[in-house]
Amino acid sequence: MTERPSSDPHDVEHEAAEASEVAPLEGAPVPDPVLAVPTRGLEERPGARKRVIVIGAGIAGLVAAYELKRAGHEVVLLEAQHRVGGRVSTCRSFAPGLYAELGAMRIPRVHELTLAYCGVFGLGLRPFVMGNPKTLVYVGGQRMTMKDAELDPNQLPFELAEHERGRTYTELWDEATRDVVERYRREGESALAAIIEEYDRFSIREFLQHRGWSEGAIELYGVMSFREANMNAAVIEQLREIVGRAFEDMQEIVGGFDLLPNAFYSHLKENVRFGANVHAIEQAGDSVTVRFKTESGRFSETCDYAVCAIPFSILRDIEVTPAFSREKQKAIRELNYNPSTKILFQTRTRFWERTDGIVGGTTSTDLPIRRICYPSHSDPSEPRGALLASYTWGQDALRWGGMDEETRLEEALEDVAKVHPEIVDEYEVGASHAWYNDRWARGAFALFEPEQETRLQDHIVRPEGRIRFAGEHCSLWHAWIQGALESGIRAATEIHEEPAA
Amino acid sequence: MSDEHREEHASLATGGREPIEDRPVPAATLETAREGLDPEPGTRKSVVVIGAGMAGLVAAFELDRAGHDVIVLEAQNRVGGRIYTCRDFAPGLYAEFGAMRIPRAHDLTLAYCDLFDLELQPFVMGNPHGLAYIGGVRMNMAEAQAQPESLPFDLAEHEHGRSADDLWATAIADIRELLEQEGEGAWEAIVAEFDQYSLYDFLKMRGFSEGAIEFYAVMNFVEADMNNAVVEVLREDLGGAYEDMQQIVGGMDALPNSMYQAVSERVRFGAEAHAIEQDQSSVTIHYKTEAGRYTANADYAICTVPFSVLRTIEVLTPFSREKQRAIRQLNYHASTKVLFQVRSRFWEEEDGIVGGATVTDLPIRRINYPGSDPSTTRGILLASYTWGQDALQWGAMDEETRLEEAIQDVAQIHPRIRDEFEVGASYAWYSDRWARGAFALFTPEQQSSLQEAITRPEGRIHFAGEHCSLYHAWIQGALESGIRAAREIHQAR
Repeated sequence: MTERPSSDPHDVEHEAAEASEVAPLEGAPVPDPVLAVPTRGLEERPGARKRVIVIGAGIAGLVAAYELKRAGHEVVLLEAQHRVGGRVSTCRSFAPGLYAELGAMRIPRVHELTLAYCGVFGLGLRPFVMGNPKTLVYVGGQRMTMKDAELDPNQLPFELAEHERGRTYTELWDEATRDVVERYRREGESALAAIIEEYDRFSIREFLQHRGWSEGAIELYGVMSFREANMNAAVIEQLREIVGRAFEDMQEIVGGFDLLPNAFYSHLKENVRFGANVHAIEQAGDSVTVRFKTESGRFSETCDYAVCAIPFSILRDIEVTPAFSREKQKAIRELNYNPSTKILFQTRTRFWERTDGIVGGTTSTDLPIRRICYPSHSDPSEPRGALLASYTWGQDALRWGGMDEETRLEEALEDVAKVHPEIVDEYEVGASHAWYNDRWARGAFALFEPEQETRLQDHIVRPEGRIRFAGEHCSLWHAWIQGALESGIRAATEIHEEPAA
Repeated sequence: MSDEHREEHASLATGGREPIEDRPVPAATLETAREGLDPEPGTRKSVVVIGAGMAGLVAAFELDRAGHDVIVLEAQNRVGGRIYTCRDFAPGLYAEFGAMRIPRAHDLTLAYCDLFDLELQPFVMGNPHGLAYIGGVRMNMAEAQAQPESLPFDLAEHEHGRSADDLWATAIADIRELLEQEGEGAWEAIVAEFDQYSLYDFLKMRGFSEGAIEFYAVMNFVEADMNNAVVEVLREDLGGAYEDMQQIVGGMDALPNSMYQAVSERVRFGAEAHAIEQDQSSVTIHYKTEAGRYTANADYAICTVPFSVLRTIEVLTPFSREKQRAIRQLNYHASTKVLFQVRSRFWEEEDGIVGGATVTDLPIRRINYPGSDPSTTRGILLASYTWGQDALQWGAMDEETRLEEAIQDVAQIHPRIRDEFEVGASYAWYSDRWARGAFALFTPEQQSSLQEAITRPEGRIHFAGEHCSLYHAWIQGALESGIRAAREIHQAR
């Protein structure tokens, strides 16, 4: 009954296509000195001890604060909310012991920096199932298993051109991207710059059209990859994902993803100030002053350097004196943030294991819920389950965000019931999170529009005087924990390496 | 047009799609406002209209006038949909959360205003006294136009000294000329050629430098819209959508309210449609109220709710695959408005501003000033009006934070606001569960790939709303599509 995600090569293919979360950033691996940081800390320097304010206790802020503190610097970490972790957010508003993820939920094996910190903190990992042939496809009102859909793609109600018929969307996608992949394999990292130069101006839709895809094939791809609402975003985000191979062999943290930010926090307890809403940043020749509000009044902290680890969508409302460079301002205004909404159901039993033999993996549908992700881990001591009943992006996610929680759960139940009628009887309680409606996130993750990487990336990451920038949006691992970690370490290293104030 | 980049880019196009024609409102539709639907010897039909926004109201009004039996299901406690006049201010004061202006070219809208004797007054667009506050530099619009180089944009040499309007006029000169030569028929070719481009793509291929694109985007409030289809902008600009604007004296809600008066007994408020089914001879709409579950049965139905809302209505006899795809894919744009009631319209005396807009790169993006009113010193300022992700970011804040942040921005331009501000109100259209978006806005290729499927009937169900027209976001689009749907049913045998 409780099947492990198989190591069937068929799965690998599906994983490659399901393409996981958003793009892993760089095919480029993390440089060795950065990768050494989790175990060894920042390189020893004779430099002076600096006082650093870190804004935002998401993963980027936490790792920056943690590494700076380890290296002997004085750190103050300002966090507006009552918790750490930012867009790593484990929901525990369920029966005792049950939990599920409202934010980040998986770590690809190639995200070695993320795995290294999990190692440092002794966190247990176990497989997060991606491809599972027993999961379902429910499109145009027809229900079939993923396996059947792949064996006979003609059953799916998409109007393909003759040369596309009988082929799965993963086959079509692999073919469309083959030359990019081969070029990368042949030329290595150096190919990436050329690939970006060539493709950065195309949306996913334009790219597929360019490759001769019919309208029906584009629709097939949009629906099966959950990206129908993101077809106008830059294709480069996805190409990077393929060459980065970041979707293979996914892991999850045993006990919940919040164990990772909480582990950082356990080393920073006295450095964190919760409930501190930063509203202004001022810098002078030799110092930075950060002004913040709490429920009890207005305060400020002055220091040698600051790390700004909040999304640009939030930074946009913080008053900055003197103003950042025009280029940075433009990047802050223009960088595109993608919405994402997750809806979780607590069920009396994990009935899908019984009725469909599904343990982990994802069901794809053209219903508003778009996809159902099943828990990867079948715990024999726990009859209940926490089902990810819907996970959406783009305007799909905004529409769920436009409903109140009650309506959201009601509508999601109606959808899930079409795929799994048992849900009506099995459903107990639900929870949801719409990341664009979260005032401290205002978006789920950065996602480039065509040409944004070329036009904005340099300005996104570059320091402004004594202020450094970190967060997934300041990396090329948009949406991934790895991007938050990599950029946080970069910012910490930049400050660590500055000569004495 | 000979730009090599453009050609290269254009090579991405795939042929073979039927472009959609784009014409002004046909004479027969325009005539409907005055004369009603053409008399037809056909039978009296029963019709359920879902949604009492402008499209639903006009469809119900015209069908009722023509003798049909209509009911309108409206989920909210008011009519008008995205026409929404806010009156949560001192007695007599009001301002618009939704539609706020009518271009002179929108003859159908003006015809209905006329039918209901609604008084119009000018809505000021360009005002040289309006301000530009960009990169922390404050100047008035006259100065910004006269000396564009005083604005902090990095223009290429050939762009120096030119205003954003001037650059744009040059960029579309050949398209304007084509329209002038060939008339409305030219739209087919324009759409066929340009539908594949985003606004960003278009400006780039017309040789705009990066700085000029930023300049254009900021000055026109579209920096968050640059990845959407350029045909939307061309259509508005070349259709005179921003020329000689009018507003309804007393508030825009006078228009839906007038129509409502004529059909008030036909409207059922608080009725949320949750399922639609049809067979060969009838349509059944299932709806909920606070009191229970009901059904309405009729010969035909008109669905006027946005596709974003229709998406979660269960369609028991599924629509065609093409319609389903259009419902899933059609892009909806965000918009947020923040309104301030002030003790005095200090900007009139301080900056000589009466009406018009201030443009800024601050998060508020633009301020719209009310016209002068000798009966009161107070005024309602549209302190911020944003689109796209700018609007979503305002939508993510609670009302209190929204007002606080907007005051901070306005205070950088008008420090006196802190003394003059009294109360505020705001509306984020993407967070409205009955709208789930402010208006339809095509992304590249959506007009070519979806428009036909958007408007076409499904059995006995017809579709209306701004999204079912090519006047996205405008009252005119709601009216035109509502009349079209009403006529389709009126004429059905």
